[in-house]
Amino acid sequence: MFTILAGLQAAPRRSRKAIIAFFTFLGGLYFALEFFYPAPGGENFLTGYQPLVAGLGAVIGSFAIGLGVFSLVQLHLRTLSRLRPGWGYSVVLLVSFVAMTVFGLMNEYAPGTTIIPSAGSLWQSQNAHGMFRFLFSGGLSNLGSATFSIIAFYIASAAYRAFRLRSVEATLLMAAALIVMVGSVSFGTWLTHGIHPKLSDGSENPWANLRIENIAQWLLMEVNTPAQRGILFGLTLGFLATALRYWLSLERGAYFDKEL
Amino acid sequence: MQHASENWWVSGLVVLLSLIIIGKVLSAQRGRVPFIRRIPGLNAIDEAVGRATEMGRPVMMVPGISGLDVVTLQALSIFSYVARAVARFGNKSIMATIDPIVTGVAEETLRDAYADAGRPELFEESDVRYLTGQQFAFATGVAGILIREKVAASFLFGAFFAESLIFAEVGQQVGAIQVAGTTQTNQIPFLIAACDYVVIGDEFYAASAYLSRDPTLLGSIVAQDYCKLLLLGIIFIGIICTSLLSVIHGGPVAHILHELVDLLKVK
Repeated sequence: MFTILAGLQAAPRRSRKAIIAFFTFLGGLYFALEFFYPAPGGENFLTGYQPLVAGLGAVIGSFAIGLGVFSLVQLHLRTLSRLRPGWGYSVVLLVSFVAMTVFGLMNEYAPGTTIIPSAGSLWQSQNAHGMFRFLFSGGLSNLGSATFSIIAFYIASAAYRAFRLRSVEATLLMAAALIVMVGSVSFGTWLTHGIHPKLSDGSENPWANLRIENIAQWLLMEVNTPAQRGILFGLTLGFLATALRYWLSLERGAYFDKEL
Repeated sequence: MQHASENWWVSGLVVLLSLIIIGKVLSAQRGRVPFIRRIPGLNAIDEAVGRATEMGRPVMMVPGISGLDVVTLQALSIFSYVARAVARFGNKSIMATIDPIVTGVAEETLRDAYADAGRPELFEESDVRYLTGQQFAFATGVAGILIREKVAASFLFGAFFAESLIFAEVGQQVGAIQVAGTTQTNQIPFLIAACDYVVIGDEFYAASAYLSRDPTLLGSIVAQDYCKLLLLGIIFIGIICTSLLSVIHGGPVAHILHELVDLLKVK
């Protein structure tokens, strides 16, 4: 990779676009060849190199993590040094960053190291593994779950604003949403529990289709799912077209027309 | 991994679709520039940026939470246009990223966009902020930026998951005008409920063509429509064959229909 970058810097400006296009094509060629080459038994001679190619991507990603961390720390150190509004959050971030880094590394290489010595009956000693678990499982995971749970309230507020009877389409949307929501809870099942799923002779009761949970299921499977599939058709074709444009360097725009 | 040899007919169809796309792109590059219809969500970009400039508040851009893939590159292509509009108006923009590789590409995209608009001095490196690699920590960080910076226009383009509603609702709470577009079909309802304009489905991929009016991109969009027509035709043939099989039992016609249905069936 360094050789390619050095070669790119040394090459004349006019040929840089061609060099980038060549290596872009080469990079994508592996996947196209691996897919189209006959693969009896599910593998061909290129399949074995898949972990290597994935590993190359991970190596490039690991270079970028350093850049991201540097950029983050630099931004917050600058905020702290100039005492800009919100500098307290920068302190919290930097302290958390250092703590997770230190205890994360200690958990990997020296998990048994005592961090907090025991104080008799007041508290037990804590080692590096315990501190890491406290920060990760006790802190980060729970904070993530709490943030995720806020979505429940946001759904309610978004639905309150969105479900208004402004037009025929909005009314249909509201009705469908009501049926699906009521059909998903026990109250909805109770509403139509009087319609028995089976007749007295043991055969299927056709009126059971009017049970609210069945109507809700029908709406999801026969209306919602085909609509989503229709959108997916378009998205998949868009993905194919965009990927082809990038792979074959047909794109003219932000990445290819600038001075290289 | 899947291979073409598992179903040569489908692989052949993929090759045919690719050839249609490449053919239309090359045709457009040679001067046959096609027309595409108006997309309301994208017309709102200039309106949103202008409104933010009048209020003296910044513009926020979030390119999704996936890594550097086709979807994110497409989002950055749209943000290049947004950033040019922001620079023309002399306003400030903030982009939050979840992936360090995307951060580097985003910095270059915004820097070039500001330079194109003749305002390179307005760009600051701190405008592109790598927050974290964790989904909900990123959501919290973006929410914090939306509230602290009092963002007036928010653009959410890319791959979003459960955190999309957090971005959209917090943007709604601070009074930002919001334009969103995603390839995740199960997030579209949330964005429609909470955002002012939403770009649905393959309009996301048409956005860069619509904004730039570049012949290559326009040709690609029209090619996609031809491909959709081809797929619709195949589906229609499958429907006819399956319907006929319910009434025709046995004989050479039923055998042919069976073969055709087996060919078209997803395995």
